[in-house]
Amino acid sequence: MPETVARSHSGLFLPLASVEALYRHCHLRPPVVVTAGSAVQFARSVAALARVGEPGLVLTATLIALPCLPIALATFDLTGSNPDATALRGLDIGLVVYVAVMSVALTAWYLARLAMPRRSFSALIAGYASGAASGALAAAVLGGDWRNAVMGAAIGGGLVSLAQVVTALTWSLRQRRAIGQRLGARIALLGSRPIHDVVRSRLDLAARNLPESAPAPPSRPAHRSQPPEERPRVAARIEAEGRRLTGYRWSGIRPLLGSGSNAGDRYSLDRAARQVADPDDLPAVLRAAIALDASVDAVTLLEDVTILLPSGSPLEVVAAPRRGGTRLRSERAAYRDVLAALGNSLLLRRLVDLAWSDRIADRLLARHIVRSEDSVLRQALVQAMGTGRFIAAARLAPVHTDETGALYLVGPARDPLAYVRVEDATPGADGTRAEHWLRVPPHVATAREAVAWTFGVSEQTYSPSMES
Amino acid sequence: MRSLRQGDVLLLPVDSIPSSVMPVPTAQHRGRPCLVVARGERTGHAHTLPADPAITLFSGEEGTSIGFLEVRGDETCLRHEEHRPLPIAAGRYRVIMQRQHDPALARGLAVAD
Repeated sequence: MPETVARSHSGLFLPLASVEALYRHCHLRPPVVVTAGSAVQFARSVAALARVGEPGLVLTATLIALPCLPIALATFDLTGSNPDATALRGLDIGLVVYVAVMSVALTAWYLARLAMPRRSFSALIAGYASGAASGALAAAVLGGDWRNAVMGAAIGGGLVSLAQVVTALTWSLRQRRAIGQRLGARIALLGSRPIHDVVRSRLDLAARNLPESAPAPPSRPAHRSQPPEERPRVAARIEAEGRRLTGYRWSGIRPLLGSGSNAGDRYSLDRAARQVADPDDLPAVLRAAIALDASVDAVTLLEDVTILLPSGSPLEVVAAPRRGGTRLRSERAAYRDVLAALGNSLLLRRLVDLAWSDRIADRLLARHIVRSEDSVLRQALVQAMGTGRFIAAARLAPVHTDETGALYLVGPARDPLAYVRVEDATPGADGTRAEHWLRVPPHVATAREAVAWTFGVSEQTYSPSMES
Repeated sequence: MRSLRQGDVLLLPVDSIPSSVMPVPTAQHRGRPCLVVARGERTGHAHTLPADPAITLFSGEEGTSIGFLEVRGDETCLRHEEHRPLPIAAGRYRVIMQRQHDPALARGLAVAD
């Protein structure tokens, strides 16, 4: 089957022609092709480009904030036009109750459709509640009147909900603009609509209308490392990562053909085990889908944009940065290993996450390590953190320094660890000398004796006439 | 004659080389034949000597990080990717690899560069 391919920066072949053909045979405009280098990058690209999350978020936040306006207007009207009134007027109360009931009902209805995770919904409610509480408190402190407090709560809650919406939209817009600039292509700033249903219905119809004598689709090339039965699981893992990033359920990532796809059992990859003699007998839309399917591990079809994960890309879904910012500090490799060595204490994890800066988080960990009574455990902890990083965070001063290096003691005086810091005699390409930390026995008195010990000689014997 | 050092390798002059040690065969490093004194486990860098009949590198006793070197005739150079070449005069040397203390084992271990 003739196939035009391009080679990505990672050396993988990209089936650009089959993507274009698939869209063309489904009577869709040719898309911009975004190639992900890994499963994580794929999930992030879909999260950024697909119009799946924001409409739901915007509508939900709007519904939650809906009672704000009538409450504010009612209390404003009450306090402004009728200062002597002691209760809301019938019209105002009715309006508030109606809007509140409608907003709750609409929110519930929309949430059921979106299957929004509890975490995202909780974040919206918490944001609204904190804004309302702040507004009420500010109004109460300033005005002292309960009506002002009600109005302040309504305005505060509304403003926080608005800020949440703006934050969500801004993240997506920034991502889309960056991807568009990188590709040098026009990307819809409002996101692209998923079109899997359009493509799948065509594929399904094409497969169902095949005569019994039609050739089976070719099997995926033998060198592809991804077995067919693994692909739905890969898709599920990518979807889970996308859900973690966006907070919304994804359902758009499926293999185009075969197990786990919607293209019909008849055209499954089980049948694809047999080689086809002449694939040109197949409908054009199936040919394009087969060619694409053979070259990618995952694909998301959007209006005017296609996101591909070429076969052979790294599939490990590792923790990626959270939406709108960096992920929790305790999830980063630099802290994860140390926290694991420290027993993964929940309290310590939260403290590390809450630390104002990495420097303070490091200091927190270093203090824990220094207090460790067991020198063997302490040494493992220092190693997990990195000796140089640990010494700097613990703000330890050397107990002895000479021309060979600097000697440091770590831990209680009765059972300390000893480290000697040395530098390469030869500067590196950038003109600086590489620094090394060597563990030495704590009985050494000087840095020279420590360095001599690392070579198994006495301080007197260690006197190199030349070093490089 | 005094000792020489290149990074984590120390060459200590000795009068004689024990008869029990065995010569190290020529190996390949970066596509070139040479005598590999020590190879970094993490970086893949190595301290190497030219494959020259006038140079014999001996491995130490099994389980130790100590070897021996004999340079006959002209001066040679110990080379490493991250260090300046170290000139070595003719003579016999004990080759000592740097080690680290392990509080658990309370004995020296070879250092990884």
